[in-house]
Amino acid sequence: MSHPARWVSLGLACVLALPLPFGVLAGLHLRLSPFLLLQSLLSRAPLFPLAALGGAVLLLILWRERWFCRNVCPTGALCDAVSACRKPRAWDTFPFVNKALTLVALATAACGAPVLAVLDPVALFHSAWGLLHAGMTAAAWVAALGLAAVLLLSLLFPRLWCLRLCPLGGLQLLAADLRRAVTRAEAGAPGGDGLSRRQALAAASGLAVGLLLRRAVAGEVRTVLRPPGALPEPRFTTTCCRCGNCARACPTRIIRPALDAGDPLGLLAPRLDFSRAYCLPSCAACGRACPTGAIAPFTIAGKGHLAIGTAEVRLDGCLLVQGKECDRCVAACEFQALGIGGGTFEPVPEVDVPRCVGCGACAVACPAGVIAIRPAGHREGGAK
Amino acid sequence: MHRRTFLSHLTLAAGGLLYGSRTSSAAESEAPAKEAPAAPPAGKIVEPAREVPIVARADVVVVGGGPAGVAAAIGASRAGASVILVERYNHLGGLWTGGLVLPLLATHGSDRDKKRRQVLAGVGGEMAQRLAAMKMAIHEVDPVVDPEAAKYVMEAMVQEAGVRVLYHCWAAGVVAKEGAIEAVLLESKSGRVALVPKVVVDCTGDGDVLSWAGEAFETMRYHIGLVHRLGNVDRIDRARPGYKKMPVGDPTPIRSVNWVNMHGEKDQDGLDLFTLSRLQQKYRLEIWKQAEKIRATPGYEEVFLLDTAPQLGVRASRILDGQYRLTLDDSMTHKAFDDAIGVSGAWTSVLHGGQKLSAGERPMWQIPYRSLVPKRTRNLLVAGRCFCFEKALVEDARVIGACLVTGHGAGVAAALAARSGSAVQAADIQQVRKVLLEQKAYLG
Repeated sequence: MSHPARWVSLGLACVLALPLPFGVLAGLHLRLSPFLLLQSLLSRAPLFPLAALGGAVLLLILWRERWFCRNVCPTGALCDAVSACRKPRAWDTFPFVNKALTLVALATAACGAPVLAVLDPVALFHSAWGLLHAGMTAAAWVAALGLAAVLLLSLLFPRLWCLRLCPLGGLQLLAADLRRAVTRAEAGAPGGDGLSRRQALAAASGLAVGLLLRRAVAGEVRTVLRPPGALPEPRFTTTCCRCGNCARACPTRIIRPALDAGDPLGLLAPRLDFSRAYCLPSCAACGRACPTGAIAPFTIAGKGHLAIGTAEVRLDGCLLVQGKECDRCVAACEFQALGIGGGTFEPVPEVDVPRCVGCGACAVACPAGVIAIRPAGHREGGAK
Repeated sequence: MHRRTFLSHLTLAAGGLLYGSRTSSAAESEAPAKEAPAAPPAGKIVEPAREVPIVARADVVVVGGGPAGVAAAIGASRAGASVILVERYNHLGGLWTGGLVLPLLATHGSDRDKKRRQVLAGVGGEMAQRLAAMKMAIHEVDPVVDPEAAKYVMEAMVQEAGVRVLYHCWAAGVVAKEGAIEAVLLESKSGRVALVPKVVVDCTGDGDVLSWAGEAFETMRYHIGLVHRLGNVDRIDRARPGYKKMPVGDPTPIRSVNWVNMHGEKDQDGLDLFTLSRLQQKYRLEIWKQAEKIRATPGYEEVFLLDTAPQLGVRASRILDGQYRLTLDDSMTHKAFDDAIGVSGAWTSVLHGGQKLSAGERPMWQIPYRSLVPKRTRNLLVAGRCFCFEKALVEDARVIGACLVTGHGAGVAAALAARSGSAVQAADIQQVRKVLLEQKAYLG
């Protein structure tokens, strides 16, 4: 069996992807991906300190060619497993799509929209685990398609993904190219080949795509509920790598992948579902879990300033308005954002908007189900 | 020591009366003050010591004739004790009947198989059954009853059980010595009189007796309302030009009568004389004006204000600091107690661990005997909305169903403690549970 370290790594990744309380170690491999890290750094996304692990790997791949592929990558190990029965091919004549993809990805990331982060093999690996911890929903199945596609590809064309398509592999090849170029320059050897024409083209097209995309989605307004600390739209949807680690970390399981035809940009991005449970004021797990910084890390103390949205009560169904014995929303609110106004015989629940963080406790508590959380109208640069 | 406490209460009350007479004369010329007046700086007087006649002795004295007190008195009497039930008004049922809070809430809860079933049994279950048989209760889960029918049923049941009821008298204090209540003092038309009990059950709702006995308690400020009823609601003419929907409350077993709940002002102190008086005065005017507003609406001409409750709807005030504080978590997790004296249900949705459980999904919850037992006093038990629970559980602990269940348990335990002479803290709880089961209580 080749690369035993990678099999150990695969086992570890599987264990750490299980819905068990591993804290910040959950989805550890996501932190190790230099491809994700580099894009987040280029797009200036706020990162949890554990991202430093990815920085260490970034250095390693400069010294050791394909160190990540050989020692860490759980998707690579799975690809090898499914293609074990096939005759391996070297794909020598196949173009280096992976390097081009990497350059496009890094260029778009530099434009602030790292949309190709979703191709990261570790993210693909983890997004499939949603089936286990979020339930067999349609969105969870769709999220698992990425890994399934890579595995199918590896079955049909052994090692093609790993050797020529995977952008994380491409990044490592580029790193090796870079080291060789530097070594040659140090040795005084002439004619370092620098970027090839194709690579320059890829980088340029990446920049163009990134800039166009940014313009196309600018002014996108948040229409669905995102986790607290989520970057403003559209930066959130373009930065998120769809790994599902936030959903996995959420103790009340309100973070679910979105599958909404009306919001193609937010496909499989995490959204909040307040139908059964709400966002606990004592929790900061999703911010710590996010490997890309799409959800900015936050503290429990600072959480009160991160508005998910604002509660809105539909008065025509409100039990209190009907004179029933009910103030469940007022009792549920830990931020004292709900009160009862109106006269003695016209009591109405009132939302103190500046105090409301949109945690959803009132919406969940409401026996009549007439409280909804309206997403905070975050625009680019509008959030703190 | 306890006499001194009692005296200081009396002097405060006297000071209050003086203060009250001042404000009432001021109120004639100006609107009632918005804020509750602070405790009056009226000084103190010392009430002279006096001899109080002992008018009766009993195994069990139950103070307060609300749902808890009635269930306690009947349970104790059926267990063989001589029982005196003390009630300040002219009827039994407290807030359930006189207070016009007509829904008997928390009759049902889900079992471990998530099947919702009735948990109200025993004395309370019998009341509900009798009212249903009389067609004086509507809905099977959390029934709404007719208050006069409920007064009748409770009166009949206490008479059948041989409970001696003293109406029109207020418990005014206790004489406690060496960790036991020696006498309960009543203020009545016969003047101040004393009852000598073997065991006392505090069913005052406000925990008056436990506070006089020197037991520790928490206090809770909550919203206080005043319920009223509207008559002729079956004569509302929706076809009348200009008709619009008005809030006329909810149905009762009497077709022409609705009861109208009031949320009322939040964070009010139900133990403060001045607060209660201010709210009473405010609500008196507001209820009349609201009824007038309804009558002035086309289609509602025949509707009239039938009655207002004689007592404010104090939802929570004192809560005993007892031997075990029952928690919301206990109520949500099917926690089993080997000293359970009853099981109550849930009537509203609640958040638990970030998740929602609707009323229909919520577990039934056992109430342990220790939550009715004070820390020190050896012959006092507490039932009704002032037994020992954490504030997060208040919505379920304060309602009629839980009052009936805790009352029944406390009554039977009091009877057995009176018979054996042992302290309530050292009760033979399995014997209590056996008698409760004989009396058809449901213990989970």
